[in-house]
Amino acid sequence: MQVTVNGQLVQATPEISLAELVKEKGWQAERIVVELNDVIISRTDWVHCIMKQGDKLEVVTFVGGG
Amino acid sequence: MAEPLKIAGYSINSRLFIGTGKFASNTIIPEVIAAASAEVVTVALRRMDINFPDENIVNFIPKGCIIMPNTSGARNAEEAIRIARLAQASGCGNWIKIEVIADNRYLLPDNQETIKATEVLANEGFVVLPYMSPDLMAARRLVDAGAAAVMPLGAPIGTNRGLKTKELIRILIEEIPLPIIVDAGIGKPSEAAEAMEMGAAAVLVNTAMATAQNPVAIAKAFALAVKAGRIAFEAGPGAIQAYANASSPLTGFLRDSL
Repeated sequence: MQVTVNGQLVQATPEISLAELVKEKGWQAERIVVELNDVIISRTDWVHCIMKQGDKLEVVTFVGGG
Repeated sequence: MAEPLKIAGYSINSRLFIGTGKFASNTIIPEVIAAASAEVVTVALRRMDINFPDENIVNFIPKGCIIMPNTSGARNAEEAIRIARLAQASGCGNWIKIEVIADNRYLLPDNQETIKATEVLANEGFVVLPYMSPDLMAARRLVDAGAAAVMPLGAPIGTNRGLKTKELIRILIEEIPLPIIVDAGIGKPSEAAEAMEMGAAAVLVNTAMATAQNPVAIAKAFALAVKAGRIAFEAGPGAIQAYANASSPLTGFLRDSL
């Protein structure tokens, strides 16, 4: 199954939850925010959120800025 | 001793806010924050680089600092609101610096879109600090929209040109019943001190530190300047006079005639 993460196609296990995907990819769970198909998913809901083929994820994080 | 700054119920001892952009390495940021004694620190929100998922500026900001994400990259109110909500979902608090910029050459903020975003986000419970072009009417609308402070620019972002908008900022300080924080343009500690002597509640400095040869040393100099400027403001500087006014007595001279 493929999902889009920040504009790039990424392979993901079918039926994987968002929480598992974050863990599998090694993203820093406590430091990122995820939008799934333009809706912010709060961290506590990641475990209930099952990914589907073609889902579009935006994963954002903090960088230096003024 | 200088009074603490009150914003939205927070009591902040350091009137020097700092930004974390453009430093040669993130590893210097904890030292810069310590040297500046900064308590409010800005960051930006961007797409995570999926090839380098470990990069995160928050890891370099000491616990206890207030993290103030900005909405840089937003070209209108709607984009600023989206970025603010994403920032809040990170769990780093509810402070937000609104920055709406559609001009690429001078990076001047769009006051009208900034006011719209301020109203929506203040209603959602954010502590909103809008970056703005120093205009009295726009600042009054920001007050009505629920801003927690108003942050006029001293000069365009990243220019280190100093307080080019000084007279307009002076008007905001006089007329606006919220803290006025000079954001952008301050290049030297003396300019930060000048803003504070005028009655600015705080200053926000980034490029001046990030582009100095020794960012940690200049952060210390800025901290001293901001503190000196604030103490001077609270002390009430003497009035400016058109003509000389002798500091020594004008009687008892050691001579016989005039």
